[in-house]
Amino acid sequence: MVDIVLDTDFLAEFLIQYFDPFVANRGMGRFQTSAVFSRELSRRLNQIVTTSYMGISNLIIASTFAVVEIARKWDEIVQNKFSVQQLHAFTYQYPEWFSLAPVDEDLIPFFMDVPSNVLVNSKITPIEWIDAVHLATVISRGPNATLATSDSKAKKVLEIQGRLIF
Amino acid sequence: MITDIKMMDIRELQELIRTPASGNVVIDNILKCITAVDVLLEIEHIKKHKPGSSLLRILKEQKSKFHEACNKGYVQVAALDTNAVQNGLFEVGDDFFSAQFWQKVINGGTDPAYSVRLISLRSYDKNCGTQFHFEMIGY
Repeated sequence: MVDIVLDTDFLAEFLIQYFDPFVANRGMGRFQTSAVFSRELSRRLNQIVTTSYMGISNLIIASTFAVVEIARKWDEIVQNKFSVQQLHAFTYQYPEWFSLAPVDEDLIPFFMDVPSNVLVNSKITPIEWIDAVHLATVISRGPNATLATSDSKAKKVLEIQGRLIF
Repeated sequence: MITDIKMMDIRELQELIRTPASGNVVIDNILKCITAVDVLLEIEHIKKHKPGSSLLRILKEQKSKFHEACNKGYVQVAALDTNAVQNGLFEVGDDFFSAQFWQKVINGGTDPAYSVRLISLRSYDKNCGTQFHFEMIGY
């Protein structure tokens, strides 16, 4: 079992499914395989939800920064699949198996552990601070945590650090 | 004794971050505020432009003058935490359940660092009675 941090696109998909009464239905249903969620990721997310009721404390996590990014790209990535009011309410009352991780001074040492560049397809590629925030959030959760992302640079960092890739 | 709160200038942040702790940090009687995103951007700059420097070790060990000033309460970091998102990202009128995004921070063309900075300061202002986010947007 691992903590799973969601990057911006994955948090958006998480919220779309979470608020859909025919899918995750605010934790009463199940996350499903989709264009964004792989079968393994949805299985792991459902496992975290289910085991939370047994007192096992793995978490689904997103950086507060991902919430801001969703707001900034609202039309593009949410497409009216949930409302601003639902997102607002979610920041006040999210389930116990979910956590919003802050961007604060405690993140600094973990931010420093994110490499500046990574080799992708034999090319040195810089990791921008935006991606570094998500990766730092993962590192802050310990060696078993991982990031749900489609970004090839971030995936490479996860691979180098021996973390699960979905 | 702290008598006032002011925004920290970026140059001042750069100097504090690039100087090892010396045990004698004093910033008058003024509490300085800086946003977490500004600190991360400065560290990002050092990571990219001074890889392998001893400065990175000092920062990793949290032994810079900046860390010292934070620990002694001379500097406060305005975070992007859940409270900041609630206070800074949304515009809530009389009806809590009709919240909208605060338009100043969600313009897609705006630099994401600007949005995060403004959200963090708006929340900091709400908690500390300062006016930093108004200064930032020119009110």
